[in-house]
Amino acid sequence: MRRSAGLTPALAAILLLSTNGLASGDGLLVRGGTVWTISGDTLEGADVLVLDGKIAAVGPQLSAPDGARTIEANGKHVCPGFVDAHSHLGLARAERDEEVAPGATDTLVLDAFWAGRKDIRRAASSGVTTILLAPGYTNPIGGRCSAVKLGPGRVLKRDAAVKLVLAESALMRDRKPTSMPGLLDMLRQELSAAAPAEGEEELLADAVRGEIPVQMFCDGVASAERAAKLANEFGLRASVMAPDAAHKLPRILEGTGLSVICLPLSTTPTEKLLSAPARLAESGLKLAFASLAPLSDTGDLRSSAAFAVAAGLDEGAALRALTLDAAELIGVADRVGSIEVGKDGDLVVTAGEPLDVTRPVELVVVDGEIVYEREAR
Amino acid sequence: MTAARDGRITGSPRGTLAPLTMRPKLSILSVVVVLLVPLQTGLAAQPAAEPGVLAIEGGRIITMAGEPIEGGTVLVSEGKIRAVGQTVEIPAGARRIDARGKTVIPGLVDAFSRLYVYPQELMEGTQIAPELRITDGVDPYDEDGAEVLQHGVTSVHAVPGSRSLLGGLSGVLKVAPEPGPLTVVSDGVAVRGQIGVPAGNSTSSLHRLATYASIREALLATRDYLWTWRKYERDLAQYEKRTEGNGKDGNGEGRKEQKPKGEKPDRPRKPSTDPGSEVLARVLREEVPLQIEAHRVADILNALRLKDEFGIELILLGCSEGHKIPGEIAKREVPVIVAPVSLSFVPPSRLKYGEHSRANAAALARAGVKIALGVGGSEGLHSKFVRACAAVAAANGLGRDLALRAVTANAAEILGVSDRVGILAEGKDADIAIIGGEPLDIRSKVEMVIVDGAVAFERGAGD
Repeated sequence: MRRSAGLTPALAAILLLSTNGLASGDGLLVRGGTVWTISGDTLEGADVLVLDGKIAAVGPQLSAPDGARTIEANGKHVCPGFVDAHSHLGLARAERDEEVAPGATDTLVLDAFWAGRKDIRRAASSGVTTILLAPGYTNPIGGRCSAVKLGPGRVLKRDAAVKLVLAESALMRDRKPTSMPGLLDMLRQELSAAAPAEGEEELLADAVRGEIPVQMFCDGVASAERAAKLANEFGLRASVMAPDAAHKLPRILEGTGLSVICLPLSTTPTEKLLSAPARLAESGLKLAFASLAPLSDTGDLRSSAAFAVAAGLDEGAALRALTLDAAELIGVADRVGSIEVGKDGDLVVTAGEPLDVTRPVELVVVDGEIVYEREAR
Repeated sequence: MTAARDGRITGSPRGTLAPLTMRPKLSILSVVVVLLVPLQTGLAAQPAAEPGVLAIEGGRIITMAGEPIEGGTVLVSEGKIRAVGQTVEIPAGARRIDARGKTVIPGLVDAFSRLYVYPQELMEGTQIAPELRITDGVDPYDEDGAEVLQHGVTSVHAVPGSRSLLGGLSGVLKVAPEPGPLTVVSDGVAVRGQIGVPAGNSTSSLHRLATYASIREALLATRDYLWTWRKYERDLAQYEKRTEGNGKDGNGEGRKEQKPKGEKPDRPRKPSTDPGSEVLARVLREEVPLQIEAHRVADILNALRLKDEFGIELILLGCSEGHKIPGEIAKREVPVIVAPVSLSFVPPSRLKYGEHSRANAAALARAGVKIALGVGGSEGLHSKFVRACAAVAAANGLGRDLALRAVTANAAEILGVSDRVGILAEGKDADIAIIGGEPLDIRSKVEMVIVDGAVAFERGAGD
């Protein structure tokens, strides 16, 4: 009837065994909830059927095949798993960067990812099902970022994005670059070398051809301006992170076609930063939210979106930023980010509206398997 | 408060919709307006002829002292709450604030805050300095208060730094809309100690044991100190009895010339006074609690051991792994200020505290522990996230009612300031937040915040 085969031990550990047992390869029917499809209308009292890890049907009164587990979601809300657009979960601090190699194009932090870390279990219980696993902040070319599920299939896309760091954190005294002009010079040289076709730096060539998205970490307004300029120069499909200057990005990025990764709950949360997502959306910029975990807590991603709503961001836009827009931004929108037939079975069931953070996450499903289920008290 | 702000406040229920004539720049103008425009009933508020009298009408009032009152009124004057109820007589000239469709709650309390505390105050060495008072070291010109206030937070528990073993007395301060003198609600909430809180990168068990041992040593030394003083007083009394009639000096000292000339019993030597020991003596006499920041099970147990050994009043601060031993804490009736609830505001280096659980507060409350929630942020601005932290705790098993209580009434009770803040009742300080919906749902906008009866924040039309 039910199977738990295929679950990693770490994952199995977080499963709260309920009477119905674990979910399963035999299918999962989430019944009667308010379904926030994100890509289409929000459906009241609808069912979502997941078979073989994929969403098989969405609509009223679906019938489940024999052996499928049924979850009653009447009065609850169902939305796609949340996407954290930039994270270091599952990495020990020392594993984030190879500090002596500033142009770390080949570095793949995924190799150092360990799914058994406690922070991963906590993160999954908050409704985040996909993260962009990124290298750290000490190299101008940080390396490759991978889209990783916090559950069954794990690696969603190995080469999902390239990380560039245009911040002082990438400057060192004992290796190049030691200065901001040096850093920009290095990035220009590397990108130019990659520009003609597939040189040795295959990754950067893909970036220059717009085939792989680029995430640019900035530490201030000036840094963000440089990032926008660089992206424009090389035609990069880039998104900008500027934790302390997000409120100034509308002016810099308007009309550039770049996207913004917001981190309203991290660092110094001034009112300007809390309202930045709303201002950015008004300027027509595409948004995603990120935790930069462990710099802030993945579990607060939902709160980030809720704060953005409180500061004027449209609720639908906030939810899109938390799901589909983030998925597009990291190049995995064909698989996750919305509740559509054919997409991965990544679902979050909440007791209240998805962004009502006073109400608990009831159930989290990754690739059709339940990775978290709240204990009934 | 500026004249312009006064004008805005007297303008309309929400301060934004009234016609220009209703928004005089000066209070003199208000009087003129009163003369020119006969009192309008219903719609807009009358200009405040009686300054400082506020009537918050029609809201859902969560008093924290009984059932919520639907469509009730809170009457405020001279900084205090004068009445709360379904039917409250509103004096003429009161500023009427329309709270229909909104929720009226006590101003929120961050029970573990860095607001107004200079960063240096957090960096004191590892010495024992219980005689320090955090309220002596606060920065009244810290501008973060205005932003914190916008989130409904009206009081903060300012806690001395985490590096000292015994870092002095914490205090409760009102959050001010503008830089300037701060209102101190309490300058001696509890002596702050810590057991096993990593100082820098030192998380070794030796360090953790040493912190416990040092605090215990300080308390033992205080016992000796008290004994020495008691002995002195006893000896002095004896001495005075013996020398009765020969001299008049009661407890004077150094007046050797007045000593009797005959048989000369030695006058007892007065022991030296030590301010730190004096404060710890108050702890031993249960006049002031000891609050110990501890996060791991072993460290929490050590803190509880101090209570068992010395019979002191204890408050636990932080208590990240409290969820593993809620019974131990509950049976000693030790209240807990749970922090952090949300981990975003804690520097990653300090996440070595132990095994965090977002359900920590719920587990403790379920066992019968009285809990408050603190943001425990790394900087003052983080106190604005009190609602977010309470929401996280609510969603993780605490429930909305208890979560709200943990950042209002319970916080005030644990901090010993419930005579003034934390509930909406007659005679309490008029610290009130008006919120446009479910109070802890951070999507609900904070519409107005009142501190000591004055409107300290009011949402503008464009916000």
